[in-house]
Formats: sequence, structure tokens, C-alpha cells
Amino acid sequence: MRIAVTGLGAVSGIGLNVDENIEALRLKRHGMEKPRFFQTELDVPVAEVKKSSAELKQLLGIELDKTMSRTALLGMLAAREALTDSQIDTKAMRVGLISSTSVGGMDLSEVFYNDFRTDHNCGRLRMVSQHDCGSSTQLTAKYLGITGFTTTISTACSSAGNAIMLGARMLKHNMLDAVVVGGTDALCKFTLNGFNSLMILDKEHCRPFDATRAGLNLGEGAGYIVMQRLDDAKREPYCLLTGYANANDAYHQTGCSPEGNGAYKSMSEALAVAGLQPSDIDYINVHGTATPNNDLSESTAIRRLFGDRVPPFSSVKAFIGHTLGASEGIEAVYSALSVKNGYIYPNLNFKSVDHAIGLSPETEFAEGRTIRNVLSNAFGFGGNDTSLIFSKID
Amino acid sequence: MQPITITKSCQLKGDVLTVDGCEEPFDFKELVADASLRRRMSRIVKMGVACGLKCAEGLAPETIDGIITATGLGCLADTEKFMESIVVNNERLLNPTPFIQSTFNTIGGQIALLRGIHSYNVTYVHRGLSFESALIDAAMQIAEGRRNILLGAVDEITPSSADIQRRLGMTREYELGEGANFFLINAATPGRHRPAVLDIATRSGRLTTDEMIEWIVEITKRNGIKTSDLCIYTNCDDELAKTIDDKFEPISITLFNYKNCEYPTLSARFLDSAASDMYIIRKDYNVLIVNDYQHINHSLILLGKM
Amino acid sequence: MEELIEKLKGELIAELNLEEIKPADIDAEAPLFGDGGLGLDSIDALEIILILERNYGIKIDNPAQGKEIFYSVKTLAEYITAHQK
Repeated sequence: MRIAVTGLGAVSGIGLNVDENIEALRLKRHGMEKPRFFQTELDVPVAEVKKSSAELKQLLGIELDKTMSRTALLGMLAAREALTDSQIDTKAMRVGLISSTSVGGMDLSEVFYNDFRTDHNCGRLRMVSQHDCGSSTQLTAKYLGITGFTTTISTACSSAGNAIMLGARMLKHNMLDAVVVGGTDALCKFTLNGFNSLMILDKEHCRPFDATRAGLNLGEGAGYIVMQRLDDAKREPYCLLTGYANANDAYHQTGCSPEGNGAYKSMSEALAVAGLQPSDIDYINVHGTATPNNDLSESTAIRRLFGDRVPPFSSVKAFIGHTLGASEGIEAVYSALSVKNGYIYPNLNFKSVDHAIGLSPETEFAEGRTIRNVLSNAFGFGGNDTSLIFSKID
Repeated sequence: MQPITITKSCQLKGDVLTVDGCEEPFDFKELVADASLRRRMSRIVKMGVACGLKCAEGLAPETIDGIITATGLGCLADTEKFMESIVVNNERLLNPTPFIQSTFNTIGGQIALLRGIHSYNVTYVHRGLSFESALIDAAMQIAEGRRNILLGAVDEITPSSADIQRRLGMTREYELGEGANFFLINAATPGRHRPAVLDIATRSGRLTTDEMIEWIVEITKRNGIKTSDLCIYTNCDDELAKTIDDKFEPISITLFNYKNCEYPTLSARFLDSAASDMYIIRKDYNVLIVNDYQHINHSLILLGKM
Repeated sequence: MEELIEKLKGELIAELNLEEIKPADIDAEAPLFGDGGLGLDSIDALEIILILERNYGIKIDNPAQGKEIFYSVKTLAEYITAHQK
């Protein structure tokens, strides 16, 4: 049974929809700036979505006085675009929503907590009632009129990859006819300070795979794709989702093993699910966070799998930052378009090869390449590694 | 769905650990030998990891094909600890440990790390249906040919979350609770004296009594089971329980003492209870778990023997 | 120096939550990290960086820099003595 990708939606620091995102990637226009909408004492660049929450509400037709976490707003915007794009009638079939997030409504909870911490009778309850991860998913389902199976996954930075994987499996098991899958995360003090306390935030613009890389930049956004069984697709699909796998590095709570064991396993199992060989992969959208540890471990795993024939690869993290629970949602959208239009995305800020890595990513935007299969990686805390494969419809 | 067998059911509630309904002594230090992992663990992580390791005991790591966990609210104590440190220290010089441990997949990740389990590892965080989502995934994994799946559910209560839930009116009918449950899930094979999950259904939003009744009829019908042959385990309110009793005349109806305990993944405890009873009683009968979490998240879990 | 070493031991036990260890159990010259000694890991290194900055006003920007400084309680004390203003 073949799983088709029939709808795409993305919002990130470089654009409010899919077209704006691709245009920015084409023009090498990144979204990294000092925070504009969210307040922090930390002096680090972030890839913020360039609209206030009030402006997002206007875009969505939501009343301004309605309390809504930014995570939910971003999710609704991208999921709406994906669903509209797919031309699916949510009334005519079993449509599900599988969403992911790493912090849920934390942007509101932080406001609540400021009042609550000294007096537990204080703090506006509406600011904390969206704290749990399921909240943004339920709000998005309601907004889109999705009444079928709905759930939320949270496995840190690989979350959206796992949501996409679950969606594909549910279609194969004939539990759904169509599914909106992806993830959403808004910037908040909690995650920014968390990554800062781990000393893996770069105070400068991040440089994935570069010899001088010194950490990641955070971003925010949401990305969703719509998937259906190929025979049910109403419109011409972008591509197929042929491979998926999740594996565990089981090495460290936050770091990756030097051998890249988890990454190697998730990539090889995804190839096995797709029935493909390493030589069938024409482009890798790497996780590439730009931390010294991730990029070295990921490239070691890639070398183990591909030997001396590593396909073109790049990380988009210098454009959109690491968007955590949203990252593989947004990057799945990019990967699907890579297959459809032969796009290769530039890895910004790469200047010098790290000799420990010995690999150079693509640094220019390309289109019209023959890309049969794209491998897309997303790795998270807890050693959680997910790989997806998007393929051309032959 | 393809039926799955519950080969082992572990529960940790307070300091009491049960395996298939029977209390077993345990030494946390023995279970988690790695001192540096142990000393960073908050209560919920300790609960979940102890319960999960007990469930995985005796299994070689390479035979465990998946760790699927569920939590409604995750590691609340660590989350609050880190939020508090952000405010108090004004975003400077923060200890990373509570941030690392606050991640929703901490328990699944720590079990994998402690036992060297490299397989599928996913965490569901969907309010009152987190555990049901994990159970559905586990059933799909088994149908896809996986062997041993560790399926777990953990939630903790903290003073702050208790105060918030009280203010939100969530304790009008219930007292808040917490707990950890882990199940070893395998393919259902006939002739084993182990309970099997035959079907699962979930719904969100308020349902009328009529809708609940209709839904129960639907799930039993599609599995060819008479409602009068059921033992029902439920946390629904007295009114719905009475209607179920009158309408279906089931063999028995076990009302969970919901006034003493409520948390998002409580249905895992119902499953432990029903499965342990089935294992101990060793008779053939069917069980239907009717979960009515906060009257908003509902699930039906149908059990039987193969 | 001896005084500082004892103080550091106490701070390490408190900050790293070394629940089963007493100051007397820590050999000031034994390695803090890896096998033999306290068996601390990279997350502990981040917490030690915090102890240095909070309690002694010494800033370490790159965790990799900590390797030699954090070798043992003694090397840590020597570094503090040399760098404290």
C-alpha cells in the first residue's frame, strides 16, 4: 500500500506559508534576529515567526480577546494551509490529526506562573488551561472540523517525525482515510533557557557542519503534511512517504553517541521499510542542529551508511532555527517539495570543512535536479532518532 | 484490530509495586544501578522507570521491540522547578537537570538508556486519551510483527498542579491521584492463560448517556459479544453506571472509586485491574473498560481470552 | 587549600545531589569523571560550571575547557585559587 503526500502547510521564521518559505530558501534569506515579540534576558538570535499573536489571530479569523497559546495559533495556521491544499472533504471520510509539540502552551503558562508562584490563588486560569500538549491539538482539530482520531506525540526534537510515522501506519492499518500530521512549537523562555543552561546555544548565527560551529539557534513555527492512501488521492500528490523508522541511541540523556548508533539504525530501518538501498537516496535533509556533538555524530552515522558515496545533504537550521517539536513537520514540507521540484536547499554559514567530519553540505539553492528519494532526519533528547523517506511516484 | 496479549502487568502506586495484581518487594537502587542517573530522577521518573524496569525484567534488551509511554501532564515537578529557577535567577546560571528531566519522553528514554534498548520509543501526551493512543500504537506494532512491546503510563500530582486543577473545577467530583503502570504486550496466541485486548475505541467531547450506550452496543456487536456476558470496569458517574447496569444486565459492574483517584492516564490502572483479575480468576469472560475521564475523554477497551 | 577542598566537596554533594556520598568518601585527588572516583558525567560538568560562577565568580564559557580543571577536587581548588579575584 502506498502513502501519498497530498497537502503541505508551513509557518516559520522565514515565511507564513509554504511559498514564502521556499522563496526565502531560494533567496538565502534567513529568519534569525534578536527576539521581537517574546521577552527574554538572553542575548541570542532566534528565528521568530514575524507576526504577533494578535496578528496571527487576525490571519486565522479568531477573536482577539480569545486566549490562545502561540503554539496553537501557529499549528492552526500551518494545518489549515495543508488541509486546504489537499482538497480533502473532512465530512466525507475518516480524517485524523496527529500533532506534536515539545512544550505545548508554555508561552502562556510562563505568564501565569509569574503571578501564581507566590500565591497559588493568583494567576488567570485561562493562561494555564492550555499548558498540556494535547490542548493545541484539540484546538486545531476543532478549528479545522476534524472529528476523527486525534492524538499528540512529544518526543522532544523528533516529535513531528514520529507523528508523521504514526499517521502513515494508521493509513496502512486502514484506521483512517486521511491524516493531517506534523508539529508546532512557539518560542518560550523555558526552552530558550533550557538550551542555554546546556551551553549549546550559539550567541552568533548558527553554522551547521562548519568547523567553527558552536551550537544551535532556536526557532518557532509549525509544519504539517496531509497523507492519504495513493488510490484515494483527489489531487496529484507531491510525493510518497515510503520509509520511516524510529530508533533509540540509548547512550546519553541529551547527547548523541560518537558512533551515531541511533541515527544509523533509524536511517537503515527507514531504508528497509521503503525497500531502498543507500544509493537510491539523492538528497539528505539532515537534522544538523549545528551543535558540535550532533553534526559530528550524525555525519559519522551517514558515513557508516553511505560509505564514500554520501549524497548531497544540507541543514536548514540556519534559516529557521531549531523549531523542536515542529522541526520535522516543517522539514517534511521542504523534503516533499524537494522530491516534487528537484529542490536542494542551501546550508547557510558553511565555510570550512571540519576535518573530524570530512563532509561538505550543499551551499546553493538548486532546482530541477533528479531527486528520486529524500531522506530526512530528526533527532531528539532521550536518544530519540527518527528518519523519514519521501519518494517520487514512478 | 488484531488482538494483543497482556503478558505481564506492573503497577506502582505509592510505595507498593504489584505484578499481575500481586505485591512484590522491590529495591529501587537495585533496579537502577547507575547512581548518576538515579540521583537526577524526580518522583515521576523514579515511579515510571521502576515500574517499567520491573516489567522488562528477564527480557534481553534486543528482544524488546518498542517502548511506548503515555503521560497526560508529564514531569510536572521538574517543569515547575525549572520555571521557578528562570524567574528567581532572572534567566542566568540555571541548572540544566530539571530542564532535561522535564521532557515528556524522559521515562521512555531512561528505560532505553538503562537497559540498552535501541528500538522504537515514542511518548503520547494527549490528555485523558494518552494511554489509549499508546495502546493503539502497541497493537499496531504487534500487528506489524514486533515481539515484546513495553507499554507504560505515568502521571504525577504536585502541590501546584493540585491547586490549579482544584481552581479549574476538576476536583468537584474527584480527588486527584497519580501512579505508574507498565504492560508487557505480545501477539495474542490461543491457549495462553493471559488476557487479550480485543478492541479499543476513543472519543472526545461530552457524550450523552444515550450516545455512550449506543457506543457500547457498537463495540460489542462488532466483536460478536453479548453485553450480558460482560464484566464492566468503569469510572463513570452513578447515573451512567445505573443505566449501563439496567440496560445491559452485565455479569458484574466494578465501579472504580473515582472519588479517591483521578489523573489523565488512570485508564492504565483500570486495565491493570481488569487484566490482573482475569489472570487470577482464570475463567473465560469478557471485560469492557468504560473510561469517562472528566466527562470529556472517553474510551472503551474490550478484553477477553483467546 | 584544605579548607577550600572541604568546602568544594560539600558543594558538589549538595548541587549534584550525591545522595549516598559523604565528604570523607571523596578522595580529593581521585578523578571526578569516568570510572573509578565519583563517576560524574557531562551534565555534572555543566553544574560544576555553575558552582564556579555562582560561588566563586569564575566564568567558563566552553564546557570542553573544563576537562583538566575538573579532573579532581584538588585541581578544581587549585584553579579557583589561581583565578579568584
